[in-house]
Amino acid sequence: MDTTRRKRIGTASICTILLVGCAVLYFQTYTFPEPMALFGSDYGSAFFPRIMLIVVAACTVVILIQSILQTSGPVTTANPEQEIASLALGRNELARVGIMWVACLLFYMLWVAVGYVIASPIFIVAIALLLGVRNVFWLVFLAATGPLLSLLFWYALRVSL
Amino acid sequence: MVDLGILADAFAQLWTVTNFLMVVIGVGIGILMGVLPGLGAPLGIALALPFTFYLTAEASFSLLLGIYNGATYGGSISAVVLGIPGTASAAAMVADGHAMFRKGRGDRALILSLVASVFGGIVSTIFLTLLAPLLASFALRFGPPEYFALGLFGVSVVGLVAGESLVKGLLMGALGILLTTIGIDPVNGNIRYTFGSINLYSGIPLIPLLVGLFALPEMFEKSERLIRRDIADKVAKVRLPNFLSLWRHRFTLMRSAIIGTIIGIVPGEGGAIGAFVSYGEAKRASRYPERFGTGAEEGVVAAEASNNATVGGALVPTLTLGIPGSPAAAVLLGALLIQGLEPGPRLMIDAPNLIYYIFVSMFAINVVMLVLGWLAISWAAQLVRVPDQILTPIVLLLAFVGAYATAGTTFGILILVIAGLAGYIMRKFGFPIVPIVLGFVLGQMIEKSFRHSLTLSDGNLSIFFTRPISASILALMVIALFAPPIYGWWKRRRT
Repeated sequence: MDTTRRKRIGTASICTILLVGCAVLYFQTYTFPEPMALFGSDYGSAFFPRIMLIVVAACTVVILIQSILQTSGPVTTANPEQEIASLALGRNELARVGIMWVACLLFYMLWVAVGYVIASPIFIVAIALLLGVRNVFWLVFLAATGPLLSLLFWYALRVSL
Repeated sequence: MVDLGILADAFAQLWTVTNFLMVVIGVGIGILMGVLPGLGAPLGIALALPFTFYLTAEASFSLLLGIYNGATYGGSISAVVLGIPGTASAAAMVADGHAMFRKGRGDRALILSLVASVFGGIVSTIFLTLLAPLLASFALRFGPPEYFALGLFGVSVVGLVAGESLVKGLLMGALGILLTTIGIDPVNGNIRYTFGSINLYSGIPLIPLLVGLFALPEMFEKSERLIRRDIADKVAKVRLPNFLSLWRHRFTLMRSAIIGTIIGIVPGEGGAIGAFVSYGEAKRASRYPERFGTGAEEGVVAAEASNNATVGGALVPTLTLGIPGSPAAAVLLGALLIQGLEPGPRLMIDAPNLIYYIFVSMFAINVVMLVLGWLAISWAAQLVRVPDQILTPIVLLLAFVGAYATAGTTFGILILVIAGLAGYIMRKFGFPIVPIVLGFVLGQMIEKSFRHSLTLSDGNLSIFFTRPISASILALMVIALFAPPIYGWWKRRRT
């Protein structure tokens, strides 16, 4: 898939998600408490979010239309070479990023379950292995970084991790 | 008018152990962040923000501004040694700086860039010190309609310059403002968009969001392509320059520092633009323009003086109006919120001691940068050998720890992870991140001002257009937003 088409599909997908989100949040505003009539006017808690939701939705519709109408051709940004390189990712690169993000999520869950001191060396070594680090010295160094940070935060800032 | 009494107090405050130590640490970390390609000032400031939670306002800004200045200069080291700019703003001097390095004059290039950076920083700090109180005294006339107009102007203009598309920039700014509606209504205390979660009662925490939007996408992008950098040749021991030899660059230095300061005042990507404009001007004014790109000292001096001058320039609208002059300045606004201060025109009234302290610390930071930069040149050039595969896990861990430390709960980590994914996807498809940050920082002020204005006017929207200052700001906003596309359309019609 060429990068222009990939960009159009990605942009359209983001816009669709945003539009659905705006609709859901707009309906949610009807659950906010009614405005009270005091001296002058109080527009209530729903007023400003509704305005922003309309602005977001309007911008999203414009971007969606632009991405649909855009024909295949040269990318017209300030740095087209960088953008093409940025979007022209193979499966391996995308998989690496995806796994990295999942590792971040798992780190959060592990932190909640067993605490930072146990979770952090596992996380940082996993990331290093994912990125291709195989040198034992570096892996041990990185594994020690987590608990060391915990000590630093406790003794320097009195923050328990 | 500069208040000399407060300035003197600020100077005295600088000479406390903590504050001065933070200056030194900040500059050191900043140079490190600038040397390592792909890191830079916004990321450095975002990662350091959680630590400022536990510092006083003065110490916080000593640290963060030290990082800002240090990183802006530090990018030139890897630009000279490796031919890879450590930061976007160092790109203008790569050709000449690296050419000098290849000709065996790397130490000269490095010291020139250091001295030029310090000079540019000091000149822009002088402008900051003189201009900021003037602008702030004008801003005393602001009421709720003016604050609303200013907030809207700031988010819109940053949306315009931050990305590839005006509409995408505006969308992100609006999203940032929308995110601030989560939690307790600032006007009447009702609960909004919490979906039953007690964690959202006080809204989305700022630091995890900021760090998630800046740090995680950067690390994800680094992991896409695992680049191995060539090992840099050892840089010869750097001697202090013959100052007479610097004297011949005096006009280039002064011109570039002024250009950088002015460009820094305009919201946008000040560093890179300032450096390139100054480089171009230096080439145009030079007697030997053909030497530019092949190792011209003037090229290095012009780009670096302007580059660091944009830092002081960017602080002018940031501190006086709450409109950031650069992405790093946008993150700095977060530091104000952490200290319980609201960005905007009232900052000079609410915290004059802090503002003057910032002026004084900027001078100190540039002096410290001269010393630390000279010491750091020899070993910092070796730092570029550190592979991304080692740096990335460490930066990720720092991001997580920072998010937890400021949020106080693991909910902050969840926000960090979600923001990281969202930020990565947004960046991939050309949606800029800086407007969402600014919208988030200014969102509550914009909402409160808007609703207070409507309360004052009994619901009449004309209040924004009948007050001269508010109307002028909104008119400027409309011109700034619509003039470029109209001009582009007119130009296309002509051709």
